[in-house]
Amino acid sequence: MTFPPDDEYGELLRRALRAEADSVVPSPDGLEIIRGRIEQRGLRGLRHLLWRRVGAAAAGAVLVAGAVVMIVPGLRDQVAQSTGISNAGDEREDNRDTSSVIRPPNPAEPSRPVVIVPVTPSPSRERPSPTPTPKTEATTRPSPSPSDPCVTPTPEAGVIEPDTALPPTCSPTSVTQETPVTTPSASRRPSSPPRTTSAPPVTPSTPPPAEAATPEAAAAPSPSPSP
Amino acid sequence: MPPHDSEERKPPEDDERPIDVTTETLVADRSLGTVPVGWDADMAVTALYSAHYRSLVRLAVLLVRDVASAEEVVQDAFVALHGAWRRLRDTDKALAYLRQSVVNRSRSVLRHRAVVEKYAPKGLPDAPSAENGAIGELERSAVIEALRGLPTRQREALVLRYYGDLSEAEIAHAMGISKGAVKSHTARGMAALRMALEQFS
Repeated sequence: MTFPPDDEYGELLRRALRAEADSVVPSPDGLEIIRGRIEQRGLRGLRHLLWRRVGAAAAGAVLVAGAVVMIVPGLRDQVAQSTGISNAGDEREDNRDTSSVIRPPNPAEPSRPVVIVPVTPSPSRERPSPTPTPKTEATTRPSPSPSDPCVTPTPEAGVIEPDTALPPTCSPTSVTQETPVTTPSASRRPSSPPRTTSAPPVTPSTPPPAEAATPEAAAAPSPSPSP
Repeated sequence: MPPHDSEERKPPEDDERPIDVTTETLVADRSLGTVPVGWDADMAVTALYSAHYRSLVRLAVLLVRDVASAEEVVQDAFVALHGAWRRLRDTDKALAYLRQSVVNRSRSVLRHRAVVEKYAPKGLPDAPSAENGAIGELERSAVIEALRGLPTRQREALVLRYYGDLSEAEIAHAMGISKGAVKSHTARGMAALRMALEQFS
């Protein structure tokens, strides 16, 4: 002991503590209670381990199922696109065409233009394909999608030919509603002479008339041609 | 047997492990905390229970002032020892582990009790029992009441010293404090106890 010698209060405290402690008689079944608690804790640990394993198995099954769900539709689409028959009347095809993402034409679909052509001349479908953004004003030039058979972007600088000779797939109403002077339409043949009958050809320096509100008309005086 | 055994302790025989020890000196008996190497947790718990359960319960009673809570505290300490038996590096310190666990859990009980008593309705004070008529009983009650009025750390230090007969190092280990703090708590506790007893007398 490194304590100093106990004074009288220390001895008094020692006697009191021993007397108080001796009056305590623990229950005789303490060891049984301890063993019971140890068993309960062991069972609880095993139960927790079991639940962890069950949870891990369930999580693994969910992951596998999710992976299969993610993979199988892709394979299904691939099979459908390779055949090209099952998705002809599907709405997803229309949604895919009207999306802002311009996709190259699929050469593996020979029968597809026949299905899509009646839908193409509609005004809602014409606008996104020649002009990707509506903010293009007179200085911007429409970049027609090569997938659209009605539009072939072959304008030349200073020479604008309102070509009325459209492919037979385009409906004539969509062409006649517009003035042929400002419409840079369509499949343009550089070798053919201008056949303007209603209005003279518009030079690039000419400001656009009232038809410039339409993106097609605004794109007409664009001096920078592109093949 | 650990080399720091006190001289006044009588080293027990290895073959004569007491089954039921009733004296409070076993709280400080380091030799009985020694568990032979190779014992599993069940055997160690059984041996330690036989040697130290009662004394540890009495120690806990002095700390938590409740027999039921003291028994629960000690039982929890044994259960924790059983769970931590494989991680126990030195099985000779099983008793020290139990003692420290009892002290820590007694603190938790007191903390929980303080919170409960804070929001619980106040009851009537304890009436003195009939056996308190004797002078010794009055003195003892006065000491115990004065001890209960001390802060927890001071009470722990005094109980571990005057009931457990532990050294400064053992008290410091059991309480998780330094030896200087043990000295400080002991001196302050004794001063407060002296003042309380002088007022009582």
